Amino acid sequence: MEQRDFLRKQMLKKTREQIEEKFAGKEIHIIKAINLLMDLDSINNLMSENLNEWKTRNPQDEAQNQFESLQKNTTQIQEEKTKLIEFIEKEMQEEFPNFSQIATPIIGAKLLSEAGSKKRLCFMPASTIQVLGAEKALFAHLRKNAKSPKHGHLFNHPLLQNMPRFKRGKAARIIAGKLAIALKQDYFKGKDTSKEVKEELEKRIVEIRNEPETESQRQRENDYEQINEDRRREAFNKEDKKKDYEREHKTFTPEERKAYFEKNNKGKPWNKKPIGNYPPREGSLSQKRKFGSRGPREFSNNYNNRTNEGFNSNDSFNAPRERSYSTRPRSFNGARSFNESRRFGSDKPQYGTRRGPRTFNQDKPSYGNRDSNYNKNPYLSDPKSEFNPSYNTRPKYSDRRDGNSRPSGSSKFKSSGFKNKSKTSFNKRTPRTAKRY
Amino acid sequence: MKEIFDGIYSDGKNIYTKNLVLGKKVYGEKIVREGGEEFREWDPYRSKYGAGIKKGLKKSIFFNGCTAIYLGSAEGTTVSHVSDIVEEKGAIFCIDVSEIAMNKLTKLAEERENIYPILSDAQMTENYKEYFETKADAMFQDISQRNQADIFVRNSKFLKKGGLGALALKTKSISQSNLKEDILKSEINILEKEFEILQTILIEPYEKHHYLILMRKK
Repeated sequence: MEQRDFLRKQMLKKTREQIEEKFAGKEIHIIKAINLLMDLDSINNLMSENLNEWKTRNPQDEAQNQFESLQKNTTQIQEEKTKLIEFIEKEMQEEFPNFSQIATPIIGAKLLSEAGSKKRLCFMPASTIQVLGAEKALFAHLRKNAKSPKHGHLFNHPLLQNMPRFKRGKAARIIAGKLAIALKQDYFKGKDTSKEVKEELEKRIVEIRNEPETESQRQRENDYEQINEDRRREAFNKEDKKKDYEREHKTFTPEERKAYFEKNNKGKPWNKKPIGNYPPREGSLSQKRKFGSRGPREFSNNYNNRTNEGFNSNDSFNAPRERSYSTRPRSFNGARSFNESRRFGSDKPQYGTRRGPRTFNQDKPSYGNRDSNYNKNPYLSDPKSEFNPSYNTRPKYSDRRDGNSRPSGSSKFKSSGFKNKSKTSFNKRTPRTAKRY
Repeated sequence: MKEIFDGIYSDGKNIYTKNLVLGKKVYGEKIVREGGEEFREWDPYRSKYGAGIKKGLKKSIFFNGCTAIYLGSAEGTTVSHVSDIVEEKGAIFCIDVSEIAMNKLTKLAEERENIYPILSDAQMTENYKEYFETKADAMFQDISQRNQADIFVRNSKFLKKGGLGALALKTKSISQSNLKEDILKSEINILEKEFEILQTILIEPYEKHHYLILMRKK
C-alpha cells in the first residue's frame, strides 16, 4: 500500500503540471476580456434602449428610483468598457509588441480569441489571418457558388476603411502578410521593428489608393452601384437559411429514405428516367419519320444535370426515353447506310422498339407482290434468303405498319386493291396510301 | 434497501451507493440516511453504467477491492460511484483528454484515495503503459469517437484474462445514416477478436441511440 500511495502522489503531481502548462499563458485573460467586451456592447445597447423608452413616459416617485438605478448601471457598464479596453491594450503590448502595433490591439485581440491560443495564432498562415472573422462567407465559398471573402476582422482596420471596394482585397492581403511575420517575431522573441514596418505599410497602401482604376474595376463598380448589394445578400442568405434549416431539422429514418428512392426507381428499364431537367421534345415531322416519334437523340446541355431532389421533374414526360438496350440501327439488311436500311421494312425492329418495326417510309415491300419490279434488292426478292421478310413471316394483325398485313375478312383492305394499283401510285405517299398506325 | 450487486443498493425505484466521504455531494445528488448509513443516489440520466443497471445488467463489472480502468472519465460523476463500490482497497485509473475536466477530477482525487488520474489520449497506450504491469480486473469505456471499438481493443492488453469489460456504444458518432442494429453488428465483429460478448442493452429512455455491451476477455 505504501507503494500505491507513492504512485498516486506522483501521478497527481504529473497531471497537475500538465494542466498548468496549458493554463499558464497570459493570453487566456486577453481572450476572456475581449469576449466580455463584445458581450458588454450588446448589453449596453439593450439597457440604453430601455432607458430612452422609459424616459419618455415620465417616471415619478417609486418608478423614478428604479429609473435612476438603471441609469447608474448603464454608466457603470460604460466605465467598465473603457477600463477593459485599457487592460487589453496593456496586455497586448506586453505579449505581442510587433503584432499589436501593426494591427490595433483590439483587432489583434479578436484574432487571438478566434485562434484560441498564442501558439495556434503564430503558426497560422497569412491567408487565414486575412479571413478569420468571416467564416460563414468562407464556407459558403468553399461549399457553394459564392465569392470568396476578402477580409474578416481586418475589416475595421484604419488603413482599410478609406479604400474603395475593389482595392480592399489587395490591401488586406498585404496587411495580413506583414502581420504573420510580426507574429513570428513575437513568438520567438525578436526585435521590436514595428515602427519601420508601419511606415512602409502606409506608403504602400497610399500607392495602391492612388493607382488609377482599371476598366474591369470600373465596370464592376458600376454594376454594383446599380444592383443594391444588400438586397442581393439578403436574397442569398434567405435561401441559405432555408436550406440549412431543412438540412438540420429534417430527419429521415433509413426506411423512409429507402421508400423515397424506391418509389422513383421502380419498374422496368424503359420506365426509369435519370435525374435531371430534360429539354422539351424537338423534331419536325420528317425527323419524326426517320427517328421515331420523339425526335432525334440529340440532347441539350441540361441533360446531364443531375440533382438529388428526386425524379419528379416537371418536364420529364417530354424527355426522350432512354432504353437499356442499344438503339442504333442495325443493318442486317445488307444496307450500306442508315437510310438504306430503313428503306425496306423488316420484321425485326431496327430501331429497338417494343411495338415493332418503325417504318414510316413510303417504300415498303408488299407481301403479296413478289414479282413486282419494285423489289430490286436481291436479298429481299429472293424468297429463300434469310432477309426476305415475306419468306419468314406471317402477317400479323398487330403489325399494321406494313402495308399488307391486314385481316383477310375486311373488304377495304383486300390485297386485290393493292395488286391493281400502279407502281407510281403505290410509290407515292399520299394521305390515301399513308397508313396511320 | 436491498443489495443487488456488490456495493449497489436499490429502493425499488432508484439506485444508491454507500458514501465513502460522509456528508459530501459530488454533483448535486440526493443523500439518504437509513440504518445508520449514508447512501448517495445514482442518476441514470447522467451515467451510462447506472442506466445499464436499471435496464437489467446481468453482472456488475466492479466489486470490492478491484482495480479498474475507466476510459473517458470526464468530471467524475460515475467515477465517484465506482469508488464507492470499490472502497479503500481498490483502485480506479481514470484516463481523459481534456485538461478542464481533469482539473475537477484532481480535486475529487484529493478527497478519495481510490482515484489515480492520467491525462492522455486513450489511443496512445504507450503514454501510460508503465502503470499497468499488474493487470486490471475491469474496464469501462465512455468515449464518443468514431473508432470506439478500436480504442477498447487497444487497451485490452491491460486487462486480466477472464476480466469483465463494458463499452458504452454511441452509434451516432460512428455514422448518422445507418441503422443502429447494423452499426452494432459491425462493431461486434471488431470486438469478437479478443472478447466474448455476454449481453447488449439498449439504454432507451436514459440515452438515445446508445448501447451497453457487456463482455469478458478470452
